[in-house]
Amino acid sequence: MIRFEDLRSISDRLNKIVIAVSVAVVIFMLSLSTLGIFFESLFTLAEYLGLAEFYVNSPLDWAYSHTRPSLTRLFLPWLAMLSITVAFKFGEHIAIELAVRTLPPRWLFGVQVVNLAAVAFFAAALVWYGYGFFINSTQIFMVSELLQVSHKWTAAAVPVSGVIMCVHLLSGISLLEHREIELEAAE
Amino acid sequence: MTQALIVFAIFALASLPIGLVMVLSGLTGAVTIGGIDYLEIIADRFYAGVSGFVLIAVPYFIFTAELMNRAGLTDRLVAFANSIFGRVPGALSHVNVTVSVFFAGITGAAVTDTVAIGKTLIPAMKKEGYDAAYSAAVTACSSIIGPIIPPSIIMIVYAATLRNVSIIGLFAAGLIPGLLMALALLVASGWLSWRRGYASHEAIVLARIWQTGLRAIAAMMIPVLILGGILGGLTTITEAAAVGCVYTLALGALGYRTLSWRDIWEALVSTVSFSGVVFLLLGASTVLGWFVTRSGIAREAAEAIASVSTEPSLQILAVVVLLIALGMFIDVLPAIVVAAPVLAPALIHLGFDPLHVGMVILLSLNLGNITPPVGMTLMTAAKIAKVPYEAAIRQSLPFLVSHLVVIVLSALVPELILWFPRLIGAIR
Repeated sequence: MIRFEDLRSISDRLNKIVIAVSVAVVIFMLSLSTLGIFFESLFTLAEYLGLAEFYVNSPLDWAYSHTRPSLTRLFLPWLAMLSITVAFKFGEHIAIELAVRTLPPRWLFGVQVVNLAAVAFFAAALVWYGYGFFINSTQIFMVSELLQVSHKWTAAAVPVSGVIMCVHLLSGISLLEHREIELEAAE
Repeated sequence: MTQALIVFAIFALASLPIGLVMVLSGLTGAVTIGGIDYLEIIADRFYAGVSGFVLIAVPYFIFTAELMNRAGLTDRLVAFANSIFGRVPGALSHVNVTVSVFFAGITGAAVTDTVAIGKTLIPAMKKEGYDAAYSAAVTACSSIIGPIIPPSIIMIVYAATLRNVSIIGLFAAGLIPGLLMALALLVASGWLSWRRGYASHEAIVLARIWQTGLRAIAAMMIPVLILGGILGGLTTITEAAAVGCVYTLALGALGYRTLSWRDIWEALVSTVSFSGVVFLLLGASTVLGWFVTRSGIAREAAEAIASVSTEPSLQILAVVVLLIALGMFIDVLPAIVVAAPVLAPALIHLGFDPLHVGMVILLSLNLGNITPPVGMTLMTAAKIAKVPYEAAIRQSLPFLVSHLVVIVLSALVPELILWFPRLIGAIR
């Protein structure tokens, strides 16, 4: 027989993976931004010193064109959508708790069940309509002549985060309770 | 319209995360307009809300704040500010306000500033005989300078939600009101400290100011780098945010060697989690915004404001009162995404400058950080000071008055907001 703890541990484990991926995305985006600033400074300096011709068409020029914000932007929807699921798991999202604090425990339980159903609706809508959005995303991002990325890559973040939210529903009502960020658990 | 409002009220009262409340009421509104097929806007609109280029800066600013807290840079800033006030009664209280101004130029989130400053200064203030509730109040009330002096997460969210003001313009516009807030708080803090006989320190020694200043100078360079880059036109906001992150990381890990790998990991996890809070609100606001735009609420709001009075000063003050009331119940970020898309176009329609409108809305809603019953920042400070929330509310009243004076002044004298952006060419 499947116990509630087993179901929750699936959600906990998935959350650890999502945290690791999200942290990797933050580090990657930050590294790209920093490199972009570094290459841009080099380019400006080369222009100032009249050495721009050595820079153009060199590997540095190639590196410069591939550390532009347009590339960093490709990772933003992933970070955004994944981080939303992490904040859900940690109960970090802001809610107005004033009214429910006055409710007796039995009523509170009922309200939490309704809220969980609302979260389930949101998760299912992200999966269902997100999949349609993914399929219909036919544009191409032009990072450079060499690097052209399908919009599908970023659009996939919507249904994938929906699926993750669906898995977190296995945590039950505890999903709606605020918890201190479990840093040790996240490691 | 009515159905969307009912859904909003029911789920908000049921304490569903406010981002989801906005999604559900936005979808309800969409269905009333175009039937069940319109539910599909959730994917497209939500995606649009979280993928704006400037939003790359959000996790970067949060990460900088997290690193600042863990690298012990606060202690250095406190020591420097402490050396300046010397024999002035209530020196630590003024230090609290001054350090908040430094922090405001780095992080731009009130709760983060309260945690960073409060954990250092509240115990020190209690030790010097300050009322614990007063210590909590002055910490929280000065921390709300953070979102007004740039950089500011709420300004990025406002600009991303409204799309009719430049973020650089908003950043520049926040400087003078932010400094006025600090000045007003220092006046209140000075008056209260003098009346209550709070402790002063040893006489001002130039050598000590020099010594502590040198120890804090690297930390003080962070706002200079971020703001100088943005307002000087040298970097974009995203680049400035990245520079701030890398500089703070290098300072903590290599310079002062106060950041361990564990600290950096914890900072990254907290960054991901808090970014999620902001991104849910941004995605949700675009879903709700889609419905608000089509429902004509903004036009009706404009008519309602115009019906209050034909006098512009009364119109904008009516909006200030409405927003402060809203901020008493809803946290700042969701309040912006709920109220700004309705009220900002209405005020602009009545002839107010978009930047003036933006700053007045942000100043008014920002007060919600410290106003009961849902004053998140004041609650946090009370928790750090280990005092009842009600006691902290009572002690915060004089500071609340100081903030109100600045908000009313900013609403009635647009030049206080528009002068600096005009000076640096952020607006014409």
